[in-house]
Amino acid sequence: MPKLQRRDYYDTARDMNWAFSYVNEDEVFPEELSKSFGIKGDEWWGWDEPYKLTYREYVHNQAGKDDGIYSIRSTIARSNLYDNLDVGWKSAIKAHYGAIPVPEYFASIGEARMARFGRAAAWRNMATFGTLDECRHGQAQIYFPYCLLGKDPQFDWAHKAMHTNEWGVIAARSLFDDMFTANDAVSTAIQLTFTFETGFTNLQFLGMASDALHVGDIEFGALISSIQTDEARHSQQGEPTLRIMIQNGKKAEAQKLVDQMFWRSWKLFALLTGISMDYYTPLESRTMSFKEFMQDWICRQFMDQFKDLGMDLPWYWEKHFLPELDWVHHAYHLGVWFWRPTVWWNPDAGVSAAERDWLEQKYPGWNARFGKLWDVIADNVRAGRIGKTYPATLPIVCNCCHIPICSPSVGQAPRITSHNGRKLSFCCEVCEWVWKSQPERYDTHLSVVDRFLAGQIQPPNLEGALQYMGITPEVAGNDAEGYAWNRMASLAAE
Amino acid sequence: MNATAAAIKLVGPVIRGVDEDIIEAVITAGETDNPDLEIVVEDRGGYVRVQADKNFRLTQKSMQAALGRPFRLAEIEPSLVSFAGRLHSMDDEWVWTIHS
Ligand SMILES: [Fe+2]
Ligand SMILES: [Fe+2]
Repeated sequence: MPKLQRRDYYDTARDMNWAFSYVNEDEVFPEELSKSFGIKGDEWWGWDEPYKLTYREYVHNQAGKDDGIYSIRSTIARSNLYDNLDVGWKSAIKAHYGAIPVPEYFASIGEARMARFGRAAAWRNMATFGTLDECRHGQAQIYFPYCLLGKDPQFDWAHKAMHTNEWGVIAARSLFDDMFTANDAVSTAIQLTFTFETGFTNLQFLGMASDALHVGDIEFGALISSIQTDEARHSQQGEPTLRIMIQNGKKAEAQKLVDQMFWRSWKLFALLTGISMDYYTPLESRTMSFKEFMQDWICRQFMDQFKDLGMDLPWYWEKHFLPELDWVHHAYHLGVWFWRPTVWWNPDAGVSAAERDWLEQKYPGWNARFGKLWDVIADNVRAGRIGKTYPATLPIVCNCCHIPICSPSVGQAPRITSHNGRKLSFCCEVCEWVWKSQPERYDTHLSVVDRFLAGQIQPPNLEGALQYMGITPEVAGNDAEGYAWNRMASLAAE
Repeated sequence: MNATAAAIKLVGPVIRGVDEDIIEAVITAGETDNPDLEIVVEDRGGYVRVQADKNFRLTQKSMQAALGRPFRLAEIEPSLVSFAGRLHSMDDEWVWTIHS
C-alpha cells in the first residue's frame, strides 16, 4: 500500500496541462469537437472536480460493483423470480432495456470525446473514468436482458432497438445524438453530465429502482442502482465546466445549453419513466407518482443546485414545464397503448377502477381529461370491438422531440410552421424554440412522418410502417393483461 | 408548507437501498459530524436520503467508528447513488452544501 496520503500526490498526478508551442490551440482543440465559447487556454485549467478519485480507487470500486451485480444475476438465474413478476412491470423493464443499454455506448463516445477534447487535464481524467463507466452500463444492461431472452423474445430489443427505425427509437436516438454522440466536449459537459445526469437519469435509475424493490425485482433494482453510483460521480463534470463558463461571462450561453437539453430530456423521460411509473408499475408497489418524483428530484434537488450556481430557471418553467407535469405523460400513455403494435413491449392500460382512483388522487382532473377517453376504449373492448381500439393511420410527430403530437382535446394543437420552405410540425412552443435556436443541427433530419410522406415507407400503410420499424409479429406489443383490466374482459378477448 | 419549511434546503448523500451497513453508518456518522443539525432520513426502499439543512459533513473518522473497521471515504462510492447539494470531497472529509 502507498504510504503517501492521496492529497500529497493527487494534484501532481492529475494536472498535466501545458501551453502549446509547436501547434495552435485550435489544432489541438478544434471548435467542432471542443467548442471554446471564446474562453482561452489556461482559463480552463482551474477546472476542479468536486468528486475526486484516483485510478487505483476507480478500479477497486468498479470491480466490487460488478462482483455485486453479477453475483445477484447468477443467484437469481436459478430462481423463478422473473416468471412471478407483474406483467405491467415486465413491460416497464422491456421499455427500459430497449431505450437505454445501447445508448450507454453512445454516452461512452461522448465521454471519450471529453477525455480527449476536454479543455483541462483534470476534466479529461474524470472523462476517462466516464468512458469506462458507460461501457460497463452497456455491457451489463445488454447481458441481463440477454439472460431473459429464453423467457420472452421481446428482450431481443435490448440489443436490436437502437438499430431500427421504430418511432420511439427515432425519438431517443435523436435526443442522444444531439446531446452526446454528435456534440462538442464543452456542450456535452453542460448538457449530458450536468442537465441529463445530475438531473434526469435519477428518475429512471433511482425512481424505478425504488419501485423495483417493492415489486420484488431485486435483479433490476440492484443493477440500475449500481449503475447510478457511476453516474453520481461522472455527472460531476458538469458543475466545474459550468462554473468556468460563468466566471468567463458565458452564463447566457450556458443557460441556453441547459434550457435546450432540459426540455428535450423532459419529453423523453415523460414518455419512458412517466408511463412506467404511473401505469406499468403495479399499484401496490408504486412508491411515489411520476409527478412527485419529478418534484423531488428535478424541481427541488436539481434546481436547488442549479440556482446555487447562479443560474436561472428555464424561460418556459412556469408557462410550459409545470403545466405539462400534470398531463403530458398521460397523453403519451394513451397514444402508446393505442399504437401498441408499434412498440416492443406490451403496454399495460393500467386503468382498473382502483388505478383510476389513484390517478385521480395524484392528478386531480384525470378522470375528466383522460378517464373519459379510456371509457370509450373500455366500451369497445367490452362490446368485442377490439378492431376499433387499434389505429388506422399514423400520428403527426413533432420535428423536435419526435414523439406523436397529442390530441388537442388533452393537450394542444400542433404548431405548423416552416423553415426555408420545409414544412415543420411541433408539439409545443418550446420544441419549436429548441429547433429554431439551432436549425443547422436539425434541418436534415426527417421525422418518421416526413419519411412516410417522402415515400420511404412502403407499402404506405400500418403494415408497411411496422416493417419499416423492424417490428416482427412475435415482438409487436399487445395489451399486457389481455384486456383483463376491463370487466367482462374474457368475453371481449374472444 | 410554512415559511421556515420553504427555506430549508436539504443536502447530503443518497445511499443505495440494498446497502444496509452503509446506510446505518452514514446516519450514525452524520449525527456525529453535524452535531448542530437535525439529520433527516428518508427511506424510499431503493434509496435512502440522509440529509441536513444546507450543510452536511461526513468524516472518515466517524465512518470508521460507525462501521468498526478501516474505511476510506472513496469507498462510499459503490453505495452513493446520488446526492443533493454541491459536493466538496477531500481525503478525510466530504461536505455537501447549498449557499443561497
Ligand atoms: Fe450510463
Ligand atoms: Fe452517464
